[in-house]
This record gives sequence, C-alpha cells and structure tokens, in this order.
Amino acid sequence: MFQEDGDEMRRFNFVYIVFLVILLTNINIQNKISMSSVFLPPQSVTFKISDTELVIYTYDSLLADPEYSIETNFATYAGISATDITIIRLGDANEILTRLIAEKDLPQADVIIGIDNALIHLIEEKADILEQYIPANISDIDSNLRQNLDPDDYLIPYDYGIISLYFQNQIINSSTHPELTNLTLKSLLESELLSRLIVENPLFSSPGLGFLLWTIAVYGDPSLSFSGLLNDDWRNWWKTARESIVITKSWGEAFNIFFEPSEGKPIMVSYGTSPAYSYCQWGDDSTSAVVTHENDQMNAWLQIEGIGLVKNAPHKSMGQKFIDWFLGIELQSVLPEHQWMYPANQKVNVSQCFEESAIKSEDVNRLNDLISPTMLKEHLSDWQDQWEQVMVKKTIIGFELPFTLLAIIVLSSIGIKKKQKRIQT
Amino acid sequence: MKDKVSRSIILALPILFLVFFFLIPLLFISLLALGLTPEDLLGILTHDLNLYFIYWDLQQAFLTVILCLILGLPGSYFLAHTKLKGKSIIRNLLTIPFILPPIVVLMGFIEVFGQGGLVNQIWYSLTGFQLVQIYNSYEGIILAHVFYNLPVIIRLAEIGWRTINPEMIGVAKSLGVSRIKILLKIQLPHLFPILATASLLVFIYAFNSFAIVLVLGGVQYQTLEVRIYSLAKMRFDFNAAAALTLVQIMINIIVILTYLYFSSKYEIPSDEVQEFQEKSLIINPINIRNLTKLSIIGIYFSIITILSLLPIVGVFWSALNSSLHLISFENFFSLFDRSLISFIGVTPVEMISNSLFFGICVLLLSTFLAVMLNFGLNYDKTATDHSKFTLLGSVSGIIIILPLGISSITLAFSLFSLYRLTPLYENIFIAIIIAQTLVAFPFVNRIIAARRASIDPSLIHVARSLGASRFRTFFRIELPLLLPGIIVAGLFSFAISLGEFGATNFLARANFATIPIGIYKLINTRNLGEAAALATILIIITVISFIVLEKFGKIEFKL
Repeated sequence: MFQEDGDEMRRFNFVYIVFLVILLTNINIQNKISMSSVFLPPQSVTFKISDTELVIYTYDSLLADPEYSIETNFATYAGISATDITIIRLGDANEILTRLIAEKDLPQADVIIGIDNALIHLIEEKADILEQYIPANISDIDSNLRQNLDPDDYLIPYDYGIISLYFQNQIINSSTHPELTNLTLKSLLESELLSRLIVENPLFSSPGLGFLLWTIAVYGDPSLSFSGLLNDDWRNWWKTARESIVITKSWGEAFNIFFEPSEGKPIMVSYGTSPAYSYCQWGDDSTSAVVTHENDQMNAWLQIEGIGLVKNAPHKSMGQKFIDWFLGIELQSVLPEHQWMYPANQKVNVSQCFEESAIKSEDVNRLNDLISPTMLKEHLSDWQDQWEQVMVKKTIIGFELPFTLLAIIVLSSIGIKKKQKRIQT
Repeated sequence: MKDKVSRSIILALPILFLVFFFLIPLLFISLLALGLTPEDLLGILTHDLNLYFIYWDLQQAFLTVILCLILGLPGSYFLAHTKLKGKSIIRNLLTIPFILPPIVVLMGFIEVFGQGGLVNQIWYSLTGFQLVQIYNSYEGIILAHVFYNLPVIIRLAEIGWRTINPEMIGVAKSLGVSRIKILLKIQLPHLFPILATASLLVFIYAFNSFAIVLVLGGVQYQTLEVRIYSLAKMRFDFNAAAALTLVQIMINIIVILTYLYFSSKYEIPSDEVQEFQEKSLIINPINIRNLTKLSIIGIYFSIITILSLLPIVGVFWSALNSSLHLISFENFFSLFDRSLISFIGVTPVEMISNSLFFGICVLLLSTFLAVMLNFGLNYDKTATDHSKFTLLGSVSGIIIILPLGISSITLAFSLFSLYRLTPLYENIFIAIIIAQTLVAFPFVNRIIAARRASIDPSLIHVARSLGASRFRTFFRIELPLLLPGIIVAGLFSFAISLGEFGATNFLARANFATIPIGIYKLINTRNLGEAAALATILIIITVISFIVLEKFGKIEFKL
C-alpha cells in the first residue's frame, strides 16, 4: 500500500494524534469542561445558566430602542457584577410561557418580564409556574391595573398602553383618507387603508392578540351569544380583511416593514404611545395613532404587561430584589422613553413630549371591560385557533392534477416493468 | 469470545449514543402521542387545519418534484450526452445551491425575487407591476424549493443517463427504431430507478422544508415541520405537536423505504465506465441543422445557470451595497451596531464563534462515532464472510437509516421534551451538539462506510495472520486508509452543522445563537443588508469546506 516506510509512519502518527484529540474532546464534553473558552468570548462561557446570580426571561424588544442596559444598572443597584445577570431574550412573550411550562419541574429562570393581561389567561394554573410576590413598593403601582392584570398578584404590572393603529401621517392623513377622522373597524374594511395595514399574528405576538380581542369585543361572537358593541361576528371582519392585510410574526418585524418605504405599508397595529417614539427622540411628528369610533366613543384594547417571580426560582431573593427595582422610581422613570409605554408606577410622570404625542388610556373606552376574565380564560385559546382557521384559505389549487399525474407515473412504471419482464422472458 | 467482547465494547458507544439521544426520545414522543385518549388523538389529526396542512405539505412537495423533473431532465440529458469543454464548471455551478444552507438560499431568494428585489424591479420598470410575490405565496415557496433541489435531479439523472449502454442505443438506431421509441423503450426504463430515487430525495427535502416555509409561508402555508414547531414552541401544545410528529415520521419512513427499494435497483457506473462513456462522446460539427438545437440548449443552460447563481450573486451584491456607496463594507460594520445586537441577542463575533464551536464539536463527534461504528461492525470481517447476515448488523442498519427519515424539528422536539428535566437541558449547548450530530450522522456514516467497504479485507487478514492485534491492525491499516473518508465526512458534517437551522433554533437560547439564527432574525426584521453580510460569511465558509472536500473525494448524492 505504501511505498516508503517513513511515509507510513508519518501518516500513522498523524492519524493517531487526530484520534487522540477526538477521544479527549469527547471526554471533555462529557465532563462539562468548557473547552469552548478557546472559541467563545467570556460572556457566553457560563453554559449552566443557573450558575449566575439572576436569570431573567423576557422578549427581545424590552427596553431595546434606544437600548437601556438592565444588566449594568441593576448590577450597580444590587452590588453584583453585571456578568452575573443573565437576560434571555426570547422571540415573543409566548415563548416565555412555553419555556416556563416546559421547565416547570426544573426552573431555570428567576424572573419573567412581559406576560400581559391576555396571555396570562393561557396559563392553566398560575400557581404551577409562578409565585406570588408583593413588592415593597406595591402602593406606588396603580391598583386598577393590578386588578385588571392579575388580582392574585402572581404578576405585577410594570407598564401599560392601549393598542392602536399607528400610521405615517405624510402618507395617510385626513385629507388623503377622510375616513380616518371617524374610523371604525367597519369603515376600515371598506377603506384603502386596509391593504396597507400590518397586523401581528395573534398566535405569536401580544399586540396582535390585543388587536384580535379588540375586534372580538367590537363585533361580538354569536357562537357564545356575546354581542359585543355591534352584535356581529368577529370572524366576518377577518374574513374580509384577510385578503388585504399583511400578517407578521412579531411586532419588531411589523415595525421594520412599517419604516421600509419600498414595502408600502405605512399603517400597523401598535400602541397609542408609539408616536412618542419619533417625537420625543427627534422632534419628528410624522407618525400618529388612531383608535376606532364605534357607538360615538373611542374604543381600544388596553394592554397591561406584568413582571413575576418564577416558582421555585433558583435565586429567589435576588429575583425579588430585581422586581422591587424594576417597579421602583429609578427604572420606571426611564421606562417610558425606552419602552414607549406608560409606567405602572403612579409616582412617575412622563415627559411633556410623551404626554403630547401619546393617546392616554383614560381618554378611550376600554374594550377590556366587555370581555370578562372568566370568558377570556375559557375561550382565548379557542379564539386563537379559530382565528387561524379563518385566515387560512383552504383552497388547494389543482389538488387533483398532481395526484392524477402521480397515478399516471406509477401505473406507467408498472406497465414498463411488466413489458420489460415480458421482453426478458 | 474475547473478540465478541471487544467488539461489543467498541460498538457500545455509537449504539448507545443513538439509542439514548435518538431512539428513546423518539419513543417518548410516540408515547406522548399514543398516550392520548383515542378521541383526543383523532381530534388532533382530524383538526381542520392539521388535516389541511398535511395535504398541502404533500402537494407542494409533489409539485416541487414535478417541476424539478421538467426543468432538470433536459439539462441532465445534455450533460450526459454532449462533449463540451466547460462541462464540469457548469456542473459545479449548478450544484452550488444544494450545498448551501437553506437559510442562505432563502436569503438570496429574497434578494432576487423579493419586494424591491432585482427581478421585480426590472419587471416593474417594464410593466408597472410586480412579477412575483414571494411572501405568503404558494409560487414563492415552490420556486424556492425548485431552485434548491434542482441540482439533485440534474446530477443524479446525469448519472442515470450514463447507466445506459450506448451500444444498445446504437443497435436500436441501426435497426431503424425512432428516437422517441428509443427514449420510451430503452432510455426511460433504465433511467426510472435512479430518477425515482432522486425524486424521492427531493420529495423528502421539500416535505420537511422548514426555514423557507417558516419565513415565506406566513399563516397561509405551513409544512408539517413548521406546524410542529409553532405548536410546540409557541403554543405549548406538546400533545398536538407529538401527534403530528408521528404522522410526519410515518410519511417519511414510507418515502425512505421506497427510496431504499429503488436505490437497490441500480448501480452507479464505475469511474472507468463513466470515463469510457465520456470519451465515446463526439463533438458534433456546427452546421445549420443543429444550430437551432445548440441555441436552444444554450438558452436553457443560461436560464438554469442564472437561476442557480443569481441568488448567490444577490446575496453578495446586497452585502456589499449600501444606501450611500455602491460598493462598501458598511453592512459588515453595521453588524457590530448595538441596535442589531438587541435583535439577535449576541454580538456577531460571538455568533460566528458559536457556529465554529458547534461545527468543530459536531465534526469530531460524528466522525468519531461513525469510525467506531464501522470498526465495530467490520470487527471480525474477513475475506470470506461478506454476506454474513447478523442480527446486530441489521439492527444497527435500521438505527443508521432511521435518522434520515426524522426531520430536524422532530429531533430537537423529542430531545427537548425528554431531556428537559435533566442536566442536559441546563447545558443546552450539549443538546445542540447532539442534535446537529444526529442530523449529520447518516451522511457521515455513509461516507465512512463507503470508504471502509473499499478496503481490501485481505490486507487485514494478512496483518492478523502476521500476528498484529486487531487494534494494531485498525490503527496501522484501517485508520490510515480511512483517513480521506474521515476528512470528507468531517468537512461534510462541519458544513451541515454550520448551516443547520431547524434544530438549533428550536433548542438554542439567545446566547447560543449561530449564524443561521442571526440571518433568520435579521430577515424577519427586514435588516436585509446585514443579513446578507452574515450570509456572505456563511457562504464563504461553506464553499471553502466543499472545495477542500472535493479535493479528497466526490460529493455523493446517493445515501
């Protein structure tokens, strides 16, 4: 095989070394020795996340634009190192719940941030995954919000805002679209605006879910003999809308499409506070928000987001400390202009620009009052499922054609085979 | 006796690995589904949307196959029957889409056919409306699948045409049989088994497609893979996800079994035969009669090549193009922008090093396991007992074949649901490595087994009779001879790991984001320039691995 003995030896040595390395690496992995420190920068070397002093699950856009570093600021407050805080940003709030449910018996996280007043009803038994915790500064938190989010205090509100239709007023305004001044969900269906609207998927995104509940509260659900405001069927609204609207997976995706001129979608489901984003940062008042005007009142769904302590949290006391800090004045006063929502802490005042550009939740009729918590708990996941059924047009185009073709191919191949055999014999 | 013990010890590691990380999780998932009451199970399976998406998934996979055949067959015929200088270049260019990770293909697709993409822009300026709408559209998904799978059909069918003895056709011609009759009676029947395997392969890829449908499908179009993912990951309905997983596995296994049946029906002609056939081709003199034929072939190939290459060019172009300058590295720099990090969760450097780390681990682990497995299986094989059928051999055969029929989401989902209560879950990076290794293992094993089969058993026999121990024989003879195979297999697994998206995305927490996850998140948030920059990095790494790989051996499409 080999011409020279030396050649063989060299090859042998090389192979042997490779083999040894393979063996060693495997042993290393099995012993959890982090040989990855060779490749990975320091932050991600902590593979076992419970080794840190605090683990937080939240969604990816929390305090992200402009970015506010939760790690460094809380680290200073708590006197620990910022690298000991692990914040795991999941795609959307739904994923936080999935993780929590999956990890029920082996909790990894201490604190979760971002479950809202709709999503909370998808939790079958709150006591299984969350632990009641009443923070020291609870008296500062709006008690009305607490009642609306979770009367049992498993989750404490940290911010709130109404869902709205957010639009660029250079392209869409009352002179180009007169229907805007007295917009209703019904008139939206007939408007040109519908084809430019971006809606988040209510199965994946919390503002999307808020908007679905908005349509249910306004249109009603005859199958539950729930009349809503209009005594109609919410499915009808979506059946018409599905032909025109764009559905995105997340709010972040919608937001980027919204600001991409080539997409041509200058209106999206967002928050009543969204106009403050560009107004407070750049004095840019080119975006506005609108809600619908059924029955001569302004109607909107109020979203309240909550923070909670995970049951059997690995670092319970640090988690509690974090919740206190997160609801305290220091963080709550930066929250409006990083999160673009109203702070739940009543002692905090929002800035003037924020006040001027955002729609206050007090000014609208809250549709939440129409749908009781028991109704939400009972029907929310059904509603989500039915929404998907309404949105998927079950028309399989030319379904028969390919299968006819398949049949022809299979039959002809059998025919060819038989003929072949006949020829052979 | 002693032989049997050491053989079992060698086999134990790879077999246990597959049992613990593949078979048991899979059984667990099946139990999860079968543990439901019959009404619940039936309820899930007959749920309007579940049923619809099963239909739809089958249909789109079928359409993809048909379109690939229509587009690919003429090309493969030409490649097999015409002598041409740059043929191998054309062939390699056509193969590029297939070796790239789906997420990169998707990226290029969006660049070329997306809103404001190249094709639509040109069409728009000509006609005033957009040619294709790829988001939330059937055409978009099918187009992407065809683009991705066309190389499989072209390359396999080319081999298929060559299995036909040219003399047979010559005889038929001299007997005055018409061209069409030759095609129908001689060529197609010969071609059928290899075409069937290629089609089934394409079917499997399209049926289990994840990244492409996840991004382009929206609510309207979901493959089973996407549906299982969203049920398990977003709606914590593990039971429904498990039930659908079972359906998916059953369909896959049927397809794989048919595939195995057909792949035993043909033999790939040896290199010598292929070379002989290649030499027997003649260059037709150019005259007026075949000028039209030539130009049709020319147009066909330019369309196919453009179709294959445009998306990659699109990625490069978009990566290097920015709003301010025609050519700049701005997109690469803005990868380091803080605001982008908040989308992805980690810095690009971390992301790239995560990818490389996983890639190297998977390379080492999968080749190690495959070498062990093949050493164990061939432990007492001598020149005489080739055909010996053993229970152990057939069991391990099934274990090796099975992962082929199991999609990456199923792998991740089953690993996740079984091991979520163990330390493995806390060290999620290990689970990612395991999942990626399982994805790569069938390919790696196939390459190493093929190499092992080419070793002359008498060599081992001679060494043993000269008194070398079995292990010494292994290290001094088998392993050196296996080395090229190990390198090819290793690079292959490295490339698979780098591009793996489904399982990694399912399992990874943000701090273990890899390049494909970064690309996915950037596409979703429409940061296309930066996504293209990342994709460019991935393309370069993948293509380099495949260039090195081709130096050591051919890319095998047959599994």
